[in-house]
Amino acid sequence: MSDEMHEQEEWNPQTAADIAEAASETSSAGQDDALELRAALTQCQQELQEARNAYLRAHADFDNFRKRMRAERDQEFARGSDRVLSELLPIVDNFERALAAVTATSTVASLQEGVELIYRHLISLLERYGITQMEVEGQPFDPKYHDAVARVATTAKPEHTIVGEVQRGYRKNSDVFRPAKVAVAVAPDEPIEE
Amino acid sequence: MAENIIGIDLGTTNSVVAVLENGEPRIIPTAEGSHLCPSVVAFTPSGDRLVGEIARRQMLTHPARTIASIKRRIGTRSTVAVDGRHYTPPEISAMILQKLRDDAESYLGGPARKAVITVPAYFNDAQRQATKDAGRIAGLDVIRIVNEPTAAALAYGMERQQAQTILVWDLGGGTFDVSILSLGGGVFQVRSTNGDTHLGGDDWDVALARHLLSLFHQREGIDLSHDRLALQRLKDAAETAKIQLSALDTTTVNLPFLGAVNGQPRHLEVPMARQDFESLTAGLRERMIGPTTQALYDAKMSATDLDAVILVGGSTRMPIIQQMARDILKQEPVVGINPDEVVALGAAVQGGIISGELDKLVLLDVTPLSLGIEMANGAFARIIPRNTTIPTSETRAFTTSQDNQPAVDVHVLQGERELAAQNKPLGRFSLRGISPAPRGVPRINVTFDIDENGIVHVSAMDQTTGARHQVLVTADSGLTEEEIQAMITEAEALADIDNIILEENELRVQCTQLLQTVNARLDKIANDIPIQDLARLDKGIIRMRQALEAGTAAELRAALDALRDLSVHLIPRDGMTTLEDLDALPPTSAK
Repeated sequence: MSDEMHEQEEWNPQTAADIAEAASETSSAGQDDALELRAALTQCQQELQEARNAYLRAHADFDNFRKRMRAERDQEFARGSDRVLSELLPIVDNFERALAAVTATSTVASLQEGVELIYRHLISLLERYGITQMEVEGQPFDPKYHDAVARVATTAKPEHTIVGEVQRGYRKNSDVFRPAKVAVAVAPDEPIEE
Repeated sequence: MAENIIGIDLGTTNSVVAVLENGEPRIIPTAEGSHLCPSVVAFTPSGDRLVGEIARRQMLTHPARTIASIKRRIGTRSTVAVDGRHYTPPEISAMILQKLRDDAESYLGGPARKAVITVPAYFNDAQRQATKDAGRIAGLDVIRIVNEPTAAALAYGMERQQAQTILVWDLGGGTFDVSILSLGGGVFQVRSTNGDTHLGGDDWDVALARHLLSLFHQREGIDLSHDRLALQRLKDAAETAKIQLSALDTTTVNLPFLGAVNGQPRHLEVPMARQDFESLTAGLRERMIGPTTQALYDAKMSATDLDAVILVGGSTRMPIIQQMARDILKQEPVVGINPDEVVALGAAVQGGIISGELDKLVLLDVTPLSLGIEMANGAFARIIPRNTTIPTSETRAFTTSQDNQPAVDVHVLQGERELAAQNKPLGRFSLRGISPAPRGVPRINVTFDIDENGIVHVSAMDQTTGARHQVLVTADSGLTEEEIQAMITEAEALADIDNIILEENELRVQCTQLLQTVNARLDKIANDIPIQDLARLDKGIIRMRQALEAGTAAELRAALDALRDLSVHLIPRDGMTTLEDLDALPPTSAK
C-alpha cells in the first residue's frame, strides 16, 4: 500500500461538526420544503374542490333557471291565448243573438245585416292584432303568399292567375300569417304530371 | 368553441334538422318558422330555385318544374329534367340539404358544416353513398350516415342501457317502415327491416274524406267528387278531425256552405267518435301487421323477445296505433318525444357522441320530491321544489308563532302533500336562544343546502342574535320512479282535502294566539273595563275555548270574528301593536 493510500485525512472534529450541521441544516431545509409543498398541495386541492363545487352549482343554477324560463314561457303563452280567446266571447254572444232573432217572419236582409255586423267585428279584432286579409282573386299566383290546391283549365284568364279561393289568406304585418288556398288557371292542354 | 354538428332527417315528404345545445338536442326551425321542411324542390320559369314549403305550394301550378319525393330515387342512375338540364337525385337532395344548412347557420349564428344524416335501415350501399354525395354537394362534411331507427333509439337514450332488442315502427306521411335493432356494447345492429312504401298518414285522411263525401251525397244528393275546391275542404277537415281524435274521444266535422241545391246552401256537420274513425280505417292498420310479422320472422324472434318498441312518424300519435303496439308487440310503446322530430334529434345526439360533447356533459341529479319544513299550522312549507337540479341552496325567512317564544322547532320533511304530517320526516332540531319578542317579530333564516351527493344541510339562524344550528339529512327516498309519480299524483288528488284541514288548523292557531293576547291584556287592564263589557269578553273567551276544544271550522271562524270584534272595541290601544295588527301578520311561523 502506498503512503498515499494509507494517508487518511486527519479527523477534524470541527469539520465533522460542520458537516453534521450542514447535513442537519440540509435535512431540516428539506423537511421544511416538504412541509411547505404539502401545505401548498393541500391548499391547491382545497381550491380545486371549491372551484369544482362552484362550477357544479353554477351549472345547476343555470339548469334551474332554464326550467323556470320554460315554465314562465308556457304560462305567458297560455295568458296570451286567454287574452285573444276572451276577445272572441263577445262575438259568440252576438252570434247567439243572431240565432235567437231568427223567426218565421225574419227577413233575410235584416239577418244578413246582423251577420255582416258580427263578421266586421271579428275582422276588426284580427286587425287589432296586426292580421289582415289578402285579396287574391284575379292576382297572379305567387307561392310566397298562395298555396295552389286546384288547377282550372281555362283560356278565360291568363295562365297562373288565381281564379278561385278555397281558403282566405292572411298577413301579419308584412309576413304571411296563413297562405291563401287557391285554384289557379292553367292552359287546357297543359299536361298534368301526377 | 367546437363547431356544431347538425343532425338531419332527410325524409321522403319532410326533412328536419336539429343540433345539440348544452347537451340537449333541439330542432332548428326553418326560415319560415316551421320545424318541418317539405322535401320539395322547384325551378321557376325565370330560373330561380325554390326549396321547401314555398316549392310545395306551387307544385300544382308547375308540376313539370317541381320535384318531390326524390328520396325514392336516390342511389339510382335516373335523372330529372327541367329546362333541358338533367339533375341527379343527389343534386336535388343537396338543394334540400343546402336550405337546411342555411337555416341552421342563420339560427346558430355561425357555420354548420358538419352533419350526421339519417337514412332508412334498408338503404343499400349505393343509396347511402348517394346520400353522402348529396351532403358533399351541399358543402357539408357528412361525418356519419345513421339508420333512422337507430337515430330514434339514440334520441331516447337507449344506447346507455344494457343490451336489448328494439322494434321501431315508423309511420310517416307516405311510408311505413318496420325495423328491428339489437344493441350490444353500445352499438346498434339492424336485425331486419320491412314495410309498405305506400302506406302513410295521408291514407287515413283520404279514407275519412271519402266517408264525408259519401255522407254528404247521401244526405244532400250532391256529388262533390268533381269539385276540386270542395274536395280540398273535405281533405283538410278530415286531417283536422284525425289530429283532434288523437287527443279527444269525439269531435265534430263542421263544413258550412259546402255545396248548394237550387241556389240554397247546403252544409255538413258530422259528429265523429274516435271508435268510428278507427272502424273506418281498420283496413289501413291491418296493412301494418304483415310487414311487422315478417320483420320478426326475418330476425328469428317473436314479439316476446322485444325489450322496447319505439314509435316514429306523426301518424303514430293515433291512440289505436299505440294500442296495436300493446296488443301485437306486447310492449308499452316508448313515446314522449315528438314523433315527427325524434329521428333528427337522434341524429344530433349521434353528432354529440362522435364529437365527444356528450362525454363532457356534467350530469347532474334532481331532487325527485320537494323538501321543506313543518309550519305552526301543520302546513308543509316547500323550500326546494321537486325536480330542482342539484347542488343548490335556498333560504327562506320564518318567524315565531307565540309571544316570547324561546326556541323554534325545525322539522325537515320530504314529499308533495300540503299537510306536513303526511310527508316523510327526514330530521329535526331546535334553535334556541331566541330573544323575547312578540310573535311575528323574530326573523329566523332557514337554509336548505343540497350538495352533489344529495346530502341536505339544513340550518336555522336567528338574524337578531346570530344563534345558529344545523342538521345533516339524506334526501334519498329509496323510492322508484313509479312510486314517486304515484305520490305526486296522490298529492294532487288530495290537495283540496289537505287544504281544508290546513284552513281549520290555521283557524286554531289564530284562535290560540288571539286568546293569549286577550288574556295578557286583561291581566293588565281588567280593572279598567266596565263589568258588563268584561262579562261580554268572558263570554267570547269561553265560546272560543269551546270551539277550540271540539268546534268545526265554521264555529272556530265565528268565535274568532266575535272575539276580535269584542277585543278591538273593548280593549283600548296603548301604543303597543294592536291585536288586529298581530292577527293580520302572515302566518309564516315555524313551530
